[in-house]
Amino acid sequence: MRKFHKSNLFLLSVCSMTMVISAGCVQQKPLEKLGLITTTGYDMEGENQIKGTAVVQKFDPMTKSATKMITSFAKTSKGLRQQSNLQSNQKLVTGQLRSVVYSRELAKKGIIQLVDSLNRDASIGNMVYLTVADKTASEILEIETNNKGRLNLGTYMYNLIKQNVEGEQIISPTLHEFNHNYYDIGKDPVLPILKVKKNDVIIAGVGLFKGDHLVDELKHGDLFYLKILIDKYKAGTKEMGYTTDQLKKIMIKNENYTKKPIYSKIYVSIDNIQSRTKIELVDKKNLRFRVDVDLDSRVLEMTEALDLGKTASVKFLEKKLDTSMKKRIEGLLIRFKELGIDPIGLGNEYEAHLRGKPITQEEWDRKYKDVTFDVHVKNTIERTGVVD
Amino acid sequence: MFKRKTGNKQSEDKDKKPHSLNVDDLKSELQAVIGDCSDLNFRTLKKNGKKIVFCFLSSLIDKTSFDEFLLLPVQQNTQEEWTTESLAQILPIAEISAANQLKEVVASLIEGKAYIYVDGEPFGILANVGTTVERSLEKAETESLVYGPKISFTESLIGNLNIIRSNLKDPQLCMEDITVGKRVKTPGKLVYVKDIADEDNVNTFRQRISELDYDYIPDTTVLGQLIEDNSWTIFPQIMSTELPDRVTLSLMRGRVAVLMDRSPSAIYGPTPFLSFFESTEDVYMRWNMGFFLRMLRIISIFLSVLLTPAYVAVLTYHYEIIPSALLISLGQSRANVPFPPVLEALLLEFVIELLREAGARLPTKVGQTMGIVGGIVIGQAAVQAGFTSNILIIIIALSALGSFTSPSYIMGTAIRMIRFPIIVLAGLWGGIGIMYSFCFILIHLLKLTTIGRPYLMPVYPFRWKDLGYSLLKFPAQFLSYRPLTNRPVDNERFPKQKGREKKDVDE
Repeated sequence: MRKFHKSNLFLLSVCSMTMVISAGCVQQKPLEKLGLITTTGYDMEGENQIKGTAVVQKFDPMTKSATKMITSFAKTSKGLRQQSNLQSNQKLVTGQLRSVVYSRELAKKGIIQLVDSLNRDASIGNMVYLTVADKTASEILEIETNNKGRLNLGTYMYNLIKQNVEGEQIISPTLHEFNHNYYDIGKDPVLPILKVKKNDVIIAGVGLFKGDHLVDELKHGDLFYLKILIDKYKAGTKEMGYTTDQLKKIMIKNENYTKKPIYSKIYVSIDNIQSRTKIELVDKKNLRFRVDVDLDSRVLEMTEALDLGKTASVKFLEKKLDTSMKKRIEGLLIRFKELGIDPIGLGNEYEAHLRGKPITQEEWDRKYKDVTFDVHVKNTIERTGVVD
Repeated sequence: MFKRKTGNKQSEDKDKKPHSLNVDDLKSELQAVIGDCSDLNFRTLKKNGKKIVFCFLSSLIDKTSFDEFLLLPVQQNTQEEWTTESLAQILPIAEISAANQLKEVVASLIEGKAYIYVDGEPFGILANVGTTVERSLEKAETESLVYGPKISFTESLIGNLNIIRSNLKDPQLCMEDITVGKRVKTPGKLVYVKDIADEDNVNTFRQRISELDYDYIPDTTVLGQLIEDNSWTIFPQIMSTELPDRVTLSLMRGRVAVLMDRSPSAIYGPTPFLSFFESTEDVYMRWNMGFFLRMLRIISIFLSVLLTPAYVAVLTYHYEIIPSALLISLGQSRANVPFPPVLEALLLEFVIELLREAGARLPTKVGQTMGIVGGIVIGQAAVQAGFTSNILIIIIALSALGSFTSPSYIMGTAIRMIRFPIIVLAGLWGGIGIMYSFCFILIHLLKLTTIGRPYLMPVYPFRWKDLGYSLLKFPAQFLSYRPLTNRPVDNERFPKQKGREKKDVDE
């Protein structure tokens, strides 16, 4: 049996007293007394002023719909919070922030000061999604009021983006990735563009950034190639269109086969795409990049009967896919070069081959103009569905 | 506190004095010592002017055997002279001894023996015709099992020893006599397997029990508390069980057990922390099931300790970490509740404890219905009335269930009790408070010892081989050694090589 010394008892009581007394200094944040901002939008409002719109999740036993939209004006995002607090009966906190919307106007001018305020707030996670509004951010957040609070826009937008990121439709636009791409020399961020469609919000495309300002945007078709270049597909889907002449060679000319063409072109849908992309600096002096794209896929749908039973025709289709994809990828790379934006991270690849002094942004911008590409695409059709 | 005080040896010598050699004086002497015992009886016979007296406590002896085996032979014996020697020859009783010390006679009478004294003889005879009231063997109540032997200990020491002996027919099985208590001397047994159990462990037990200066020890559980290493802690350091197979399994692993008369449970040690979560069922089940159940128990204990404090901490301080899927349901149910989360949690934990305690005190049949009905009614009504949130009800129920998975009821109670300070600290400091209390408990456990052995044994100090016995459960062929934690003398259970061998059908 251990003896209980008096000094031990004293120490113990001092410890526990400090624990209890100083507990009063800790700020309590009981969940039910908070207004949780789940999504915020930022717009430019005249000169030197931003308009902030926030969707606030509240917990009220009396009412069923418990979200509220608060609009306020200020110079900084923290100032906005102060203004918003005046309009709320519950303390507004940002710990449950899921997504942020910047208006197109703001995005064109640069968003880094607003993103930086997110970075500095410890209660905001790194997995917050950043998005750009097709027009204004408040227009998108007003959907919440138009739906009478039933939509729960904060989680809705979060799930909208998350679902599409997981479905390999868009590139993950988290705060973490934005920061990485923004602060990394030789890489630029991309963010999805949201658009209002009736009482709903949809992803309309992807905005290409130069540093922190929006430069251009990609529509749905090009998104596939952008993702191939930046990321990889594990189970992607893509439809390709060809004229009848291009695929005449492998079409089935059976009289009994009475499938009438509906479209003037032939569309082939490939899915289960697994892509691997390798971007390599082959010539450092002439800045020549070799882009190798490997795609394994399965043909799942075609609008006209193609004779895929023969190996030769599968090879023919693969070749066709190669050439058309190569054209699009080259087009995309040249477009990026002309705009001076680098979402793929060619600068990163270039810097990896440098010894000694790291490259500055200006240097890379200058060099980027002279970059040339060598694109190789190789498609492999592994299966053509279960019919044959 | 008590065991360190050694007995006073000089007084023992003074007490050595023979009783009076006259029957009438002997009677009055005995009357003087245990005179107020109303059941002290004398039966005097006379023959040829010589007196013979039978002294006994009527409540302790078996009437029929007294009549048949003591009185009858003496009365029928007409030829021979009445002397102690000749009486000893004719009494058909196995347990007989000679005595003339008053103290010894008194002690023997209390144990249920009868004292036969012939007038003028230097010695009398102590004959054991005692009987004790016993219940029959029953199923274990507090440690119920699905698999394995159902028999449990009773209050009879002899009966309990019988069960252990017949369970463990090992010639090396040692049963050492030991008296427990100073004023009321209860017979007890120190049980161990001689060439397995570590000498030090046996000595520690023997020394601690024999040096115990305590008036009356009613049960082995009390004895366990008195000989524990640290009596301030909430964690039990010596296992108490009512299952004989549990004791025999432990004995074969090199542990030492203590049994006491009139106590339906045995204690054994050294028992580190994790051994309180081992059930005998783990041994009887297939190893993979045993493994799963053991993991289940340990996880449930963790949940039981940390789930409610986590709820309190998250809802008071760390709203950021609530997943969005839970956010609305949590917030909506909390919005109804007028108390802060700490109070809410403490209140509900209190209600659950109340239900458990009330259920345990009531007769079995009523207790069960009351538990279920009370749980549902209080749970439902409390949510309806906006007293608690329904998510907390789930959490509290889960942690209560988790604490009951411990095979040792004492450890389960300990787990349930340490939850309260953690909840309070979680309410004061949030996650930091939980971490603080968790570290405190961990350090405390590290400092504890059981019979002089580290309390967190196979984990710290780390014994890789013992993990198969305590935290995990290995298949039988890999357990060719006895757990190192108990420092067994004979370490090998079976040859290691033989366990790995696979016999072909043709061999």
